[in-house]
Amino acid sequence: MEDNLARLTGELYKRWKKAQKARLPQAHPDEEELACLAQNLLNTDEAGRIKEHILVCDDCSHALALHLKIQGAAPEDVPEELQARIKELVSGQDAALWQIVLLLKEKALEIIDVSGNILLGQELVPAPVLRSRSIKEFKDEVTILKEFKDIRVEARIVNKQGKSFSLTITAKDKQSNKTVKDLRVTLLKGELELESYLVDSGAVTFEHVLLGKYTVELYGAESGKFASVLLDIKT
Amino acid sequence: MDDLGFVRRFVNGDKQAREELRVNYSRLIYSYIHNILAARGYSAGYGYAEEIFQGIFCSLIDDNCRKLRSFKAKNGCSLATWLRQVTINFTLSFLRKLKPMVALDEEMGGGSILADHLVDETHSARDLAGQAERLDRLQECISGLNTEDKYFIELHINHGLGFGELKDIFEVSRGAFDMRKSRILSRLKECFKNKGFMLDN
Repeated sequence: MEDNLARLTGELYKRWKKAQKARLPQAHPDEEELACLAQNLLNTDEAGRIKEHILVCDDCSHALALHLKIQGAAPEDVPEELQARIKELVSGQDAALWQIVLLLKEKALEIIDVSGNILLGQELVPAPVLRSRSIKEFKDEVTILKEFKDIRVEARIVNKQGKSFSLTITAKDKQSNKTVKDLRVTLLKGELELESYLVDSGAVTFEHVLLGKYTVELYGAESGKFASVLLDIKT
Repeated sequence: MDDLGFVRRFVNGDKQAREELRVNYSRLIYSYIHNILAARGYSAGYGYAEEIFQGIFCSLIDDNCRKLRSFKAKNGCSLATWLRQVTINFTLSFLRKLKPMVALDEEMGGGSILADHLVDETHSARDLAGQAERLDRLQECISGLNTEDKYFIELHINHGLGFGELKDIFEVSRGAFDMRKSRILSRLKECFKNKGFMLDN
């Protein structure tokens, strides 16, 4: 009997919760408040306020439930390659890191590993969604977009018969969509600076770049260095 | 280790602190990501863990470590506990952006398609209206519970968390946990009865 009652209670509770959506306060508790609630570290008043929020907010209640579910979770080793990437990321660079790994074929271009959104026809598709749809190959160019704070960066890579490629970097303000003034884009191979341009147009193109690993650094007049693109183009 | 002091050293560019964050917390964060993905039904084969992992580290140090600076160690919250919640929120936000796409004409086995299941013709509009009215009346019993009882239902019944996962947050023994559940359900049963509804058994 208790099972039936519990099941009915669950259904009614979901229905009640759905009806409370209009009561949802605008501000969600921050991570520290949720973590403290999960660890019973809040005083009664603070805990009560956040519990009231949990009762009407699906996002926060899911986040809290997961916190409780995964404590004491089985440890997983971080792959070495990923450790190396993180080491580079935290070793002092404040600019965000963006990795793009592509395979050039004679008449196509294959995505191996990218983050950000990829332009597919007229649609911007997040990289994981593209993977889940098993789309990897592009005809002869690929355009990838990623946001760094207030700046949206677009990287367009064009395959030149599988032997070289051109790279166009465009940076625009996320809100106004205006190109970033005084944009400096530098192409490096290892420690060696190959090309560097300071432009007002918000776009820089590097032509006839041979296959290999490169770093592209982006600087704004106000923001300083705001992104590093790790580019690995291979056959 | 003083977590707040450690974070201050990190955001001030202390090289040792930067290395310590990677060494001491990367396995923890990576494990949390794997467990969250598993809990949400995503296998390792999707390859999301790597992207989320890198995204979390980027988010911590982006904008002159703005995210990491928001850690205040309030109420004795440890860095590991805070990072667990940061990892959860980041991963859930990542998964929300995936927007799973299911074709309405996708076969679901037995020759039926999803669209067939969405069009349920077993109840008439009048049946459904009557059912909705009954449920609205029963729902008033949920409204009548206090916050603590609703919170118990939220975690135990709505999210399916068991005694093992909830014993610390409710600070109760197994017996007290079962008693609490039984008391809430009895109160609801009584309320249902007062509204003219009886359970068979």
